Amino acid sequence: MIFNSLQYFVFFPVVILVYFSLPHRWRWAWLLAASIFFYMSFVPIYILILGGAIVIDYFMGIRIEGSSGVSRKMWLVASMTANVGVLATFKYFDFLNDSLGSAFQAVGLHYPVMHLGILLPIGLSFHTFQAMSYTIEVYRARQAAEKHFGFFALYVMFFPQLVAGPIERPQNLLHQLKERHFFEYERIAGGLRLIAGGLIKKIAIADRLALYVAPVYANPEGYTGAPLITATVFFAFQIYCDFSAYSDIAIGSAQVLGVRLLQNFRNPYSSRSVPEFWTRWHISLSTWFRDYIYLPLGGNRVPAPLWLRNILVTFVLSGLWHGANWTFIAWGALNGLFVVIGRATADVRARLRNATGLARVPFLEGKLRVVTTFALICSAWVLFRAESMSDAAFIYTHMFSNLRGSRVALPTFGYNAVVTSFLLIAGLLVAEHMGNRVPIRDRVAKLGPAYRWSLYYAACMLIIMFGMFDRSSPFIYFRF
Amino acid sequence: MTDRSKPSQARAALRIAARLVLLGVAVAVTVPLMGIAGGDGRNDYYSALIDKHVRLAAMRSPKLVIVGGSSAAFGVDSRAIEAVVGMPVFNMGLGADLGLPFMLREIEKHLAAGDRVLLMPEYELFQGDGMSDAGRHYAMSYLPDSWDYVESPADYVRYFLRATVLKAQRTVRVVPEKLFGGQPEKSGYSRELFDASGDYVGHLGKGVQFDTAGWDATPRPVFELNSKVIARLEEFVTRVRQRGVVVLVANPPLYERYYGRNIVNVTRVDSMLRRVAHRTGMVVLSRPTDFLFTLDSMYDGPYHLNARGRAERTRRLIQALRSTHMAPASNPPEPDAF
Repeated sequence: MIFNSLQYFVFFPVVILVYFSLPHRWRWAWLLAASIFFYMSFVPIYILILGGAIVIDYFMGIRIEGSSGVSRKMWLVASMTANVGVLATFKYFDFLNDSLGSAFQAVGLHYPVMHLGILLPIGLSFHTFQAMSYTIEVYRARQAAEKHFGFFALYVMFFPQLVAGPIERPQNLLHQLKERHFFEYERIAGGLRLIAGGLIKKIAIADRLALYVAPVYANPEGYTGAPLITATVFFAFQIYCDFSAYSDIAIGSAQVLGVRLLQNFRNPYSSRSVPEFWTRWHISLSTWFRDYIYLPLGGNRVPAPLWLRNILVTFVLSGLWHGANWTFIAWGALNGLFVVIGRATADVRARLRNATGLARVPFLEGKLRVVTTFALICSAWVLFRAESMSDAAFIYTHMFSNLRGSRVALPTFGYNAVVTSFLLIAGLLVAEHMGNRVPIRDRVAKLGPAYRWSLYYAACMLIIMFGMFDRSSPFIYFRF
Repeated sequence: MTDRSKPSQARAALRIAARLVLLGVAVAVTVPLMGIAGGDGRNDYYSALIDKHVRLAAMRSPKLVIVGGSSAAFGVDSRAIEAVVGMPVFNMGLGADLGLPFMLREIEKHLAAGDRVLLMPEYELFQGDGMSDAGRHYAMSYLPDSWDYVESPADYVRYFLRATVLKAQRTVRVVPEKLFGGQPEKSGYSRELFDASGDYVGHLGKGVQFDTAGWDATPRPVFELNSKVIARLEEFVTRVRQRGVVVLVANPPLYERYYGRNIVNVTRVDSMLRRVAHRTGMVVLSRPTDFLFTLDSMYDGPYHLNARGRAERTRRLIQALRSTHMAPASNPPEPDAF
């Protein structure tokens, strides 16, 4: 049951209706039942894996809280081992196995372990990381262990953010699940506005762009020049609209139920540097890596070589989190390199700005930095989207060749569809820019009823008129 | 401070529900109006279905009915076939996104003893997760009869909603098409460009307009076969054979390099059709390689033949029909090559 399906638009109102009709003491049970139903609507059997992880982390949390010294650390290690073990088994085993097999083959040795072909449970990386953040926070004594199994299970399984985040910290989510929430018009209208915005981004923009990106990236060797560049730029917006749409619908759905989730995106393509981009993109994951990997390694309060290591380790792990493929690892490493090179060249670039006089025109300088950052991020997206390293290498080496001779339109995606897509992207950028200081949804909330409802009407019409209903695709981040 | 009493919450819930219902009503009224504003689409390519149904209903038996997607519409000279098989031939080919079950149901009530059905299904018609069925949604907006082919109430709602939305989206497309010109790959597609035998002739006299970038080298993902579509085909053949109708199947024409990139799917579909033929008595006329064409025979896509390809395809089809003794061995008249 994905957020842009008809099933969700039956499921969600039923959940709301029953939730607010029930006495407060039963609401958690209803939400948990709804979350179990939601998760089982994908592949029912995977509930056993999720259930097993919840039981382990529940007891580990209590054990960690009740112990100290070495045994406290041992319980944490046991919890981490269990969580990482599940991830390693379901997500990374075949990748590691295949990589080892290739390495053995390269040196002429026999490698007997077979490829298992295990299917990745949906949203595994998300709920595993959320569960891990709980045990780490309990270990750090920043969160009391949850004694109520139902609330703990609901913390891991809360359906709006169960399969693709935002990855919540227990301090933010657990107490909210216990609070009494009321049916308040403004809050619920705000949540519905977020859901509507998410649907526009997913159905009208991301799914449309996917129709261009998919055939090009399925067979990059069939193209040179303009289609490769266009597909890469389109993918940058496809993945943004797809993932931020999921986050918006998740946050909006939770808000309707009275729960405030973390903001996951803040206009990332307006970033003026790669490090800034990572403070605006998938914020809940970036802060997870910052708090649980980068800072424990020493962060930036260490000598330069160690800082370099910390950055690269964090970004490579982030890449690996996204998928068991060398392309994701290379994508993470490239982003890490951008951060490192950015810092290493900061002084030179500052001198260059002064020498060229660019520093005296801050508006132009700002725009140039935004464009440069976008280009760097796009170049990394090539690795993220490519099916293999050889495909990525082909794209890098052919995206600027035959620019005059290549046609932007594809056999299955004509010029008008390309123009419409660029117009929708332009509309998105204008809306994001307008929402830089005050989010669009807050601006809309302040409008008079006539303007406000006209906008809602326009949003519905935009979804219907430009939506891709016949060829809708699942959210990209579901497979992580 | 917000009033959190139960009556107040109930009022808030009613207020939101009422406003959402009003919004829904406004949208539900506007969307069909948008569809109407874009014209009734009565000259669209898919509206040729109206004429095809009228003509097929007026034909007497025995007759030969050709069934397929656009490859059948673009790639057959029905008059040339008619001249050699000795019975009227009508081409129901239009678009693969009508779906095979729809194509079979729409002709079934017009079949009688002595009739022949020549199936030329595109391979993707058997794709496991189904093709885009946009063509069918359009068809349903033109042809009231087509609603009879809906199989369940849920499908009925789904098709009604999709047909309404597609009509409205067609209106929106008119704007960029007027500003920037028609989409090259669809230019000239029109209801008026079918002849009296149901063949599409709008492309004859036009050269190769096939941009092969993306088709030449694209390995097609291997798809699972759609068991529901196969079951519908088997049921159809079994039913009409009981009425004395002969069902023949020929492979669709295909751009040879696309075949090379789609060989797994093509082979699997072909094997499946042979198994169906074995079980039901359907007559198989060809192999996939019998109808491969080079670029100079193509029009604007891997399944669409130009005049030259169409003439050659018709010649090979007639040869195949001879093997079933449906066509006499004497020399047939030359197919139209324009």
